[in-house]
Amino acid sequence: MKFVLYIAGLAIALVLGFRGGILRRNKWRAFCAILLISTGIIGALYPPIVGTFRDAIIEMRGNNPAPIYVLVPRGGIRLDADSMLKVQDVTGARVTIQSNERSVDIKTVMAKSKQNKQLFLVTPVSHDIFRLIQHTTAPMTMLPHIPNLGERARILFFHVPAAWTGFFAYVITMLFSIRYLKNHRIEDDAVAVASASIGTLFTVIAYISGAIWAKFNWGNFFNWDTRELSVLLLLAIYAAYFVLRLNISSQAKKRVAATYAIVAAVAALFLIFIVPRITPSLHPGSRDDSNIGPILSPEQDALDTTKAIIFSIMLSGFTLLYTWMLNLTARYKLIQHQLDGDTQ
Amino acid sequence: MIEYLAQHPHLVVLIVTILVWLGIALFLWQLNKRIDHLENAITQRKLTNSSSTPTQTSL
Repeated sequence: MKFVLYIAGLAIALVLGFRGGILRRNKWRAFCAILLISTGIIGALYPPIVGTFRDAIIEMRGNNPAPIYVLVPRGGIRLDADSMLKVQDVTGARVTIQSNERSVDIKTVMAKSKQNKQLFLVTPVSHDIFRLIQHTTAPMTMLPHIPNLGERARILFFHVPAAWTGFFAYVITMLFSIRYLKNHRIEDDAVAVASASIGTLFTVIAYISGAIWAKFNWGNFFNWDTRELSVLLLLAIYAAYFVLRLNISSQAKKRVAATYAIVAAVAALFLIFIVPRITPSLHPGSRDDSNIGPILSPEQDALDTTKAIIFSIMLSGFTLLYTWMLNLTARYKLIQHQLDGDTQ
Repeated sequence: MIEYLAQHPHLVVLIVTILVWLGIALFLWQLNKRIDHLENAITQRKLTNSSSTPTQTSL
């Protein structure tokens, strides 16, 4: 199911982005990119992350314990004689909830629970007593709590699509470089250079977002992880491509740069998909990891359906944003080329 | 309102992210319009130049 969603999202983005040629003016491309990414951001950041009482206890044992939302079903609350709430979550786990002075009246919580499912923000006092920090009505969409990740799990919707777009841009650079070597059309060269620069921008975005996440999850911005090193090497390879391009004016030298871009894309494939999988790494899917990560895992429950939908929207939105930026950058380069031609 | 946002910090992140994204989108949209305008101007100039250049037939 999730692979169907990914493929559908990508197919929509590719059809909208490349229909009629990448250099064609297309307002729909821009409009859909804005709409999809806005929807994706709301989907990624608005729903609360909801776990169980058991997750709250696991969080308490972690390095940085934080209160978590627990979903309480209708009829899952009863007021005890000692004014404590006896509550059960969606898994049926039963606990006692204490309210502190900041929380609302317990009777209000009970009254509302007759109508809707409730979200309790709780922090554990012991294994069966929890402190109620706040309560709210459960919204339509919720994201599952992942133990020891919590809110940090939201990076999936930004980091992975950015990394994918970076790699995709390098593949497009290779394809248009091949076309340039074949046809010697200046348009193909402009698209290839534009795609490489946008690909590098997206790779840097993925790298920085990953580094910030790593600081809070692994302890350091840079952990000498295989994927961190391989992507750094990839950025160095494309930095060399731009240095080569800066010193190019003649047609023959442009052909050299196009050949380099083809070799660089093959290196990108090797550095992104092969090296991190055959060596030990902190990233999912490495040699010493038993699973391939939630995105690519064939197990259906590896990625929640809500998450898969939001991820597909972001994947599609980022790809469309890339095609929009590619269209603008390539057209700008062609204008620059025309004006340079006119002045010479 | 402020109290509500203080209780739901992820909504603050959502608002800031949406504002940053809409800012980027607006910038790209404006850039799109400017490039359209430049392309139109270049095409117009080329048409004007080609029509003002005397040709064999007009001579």
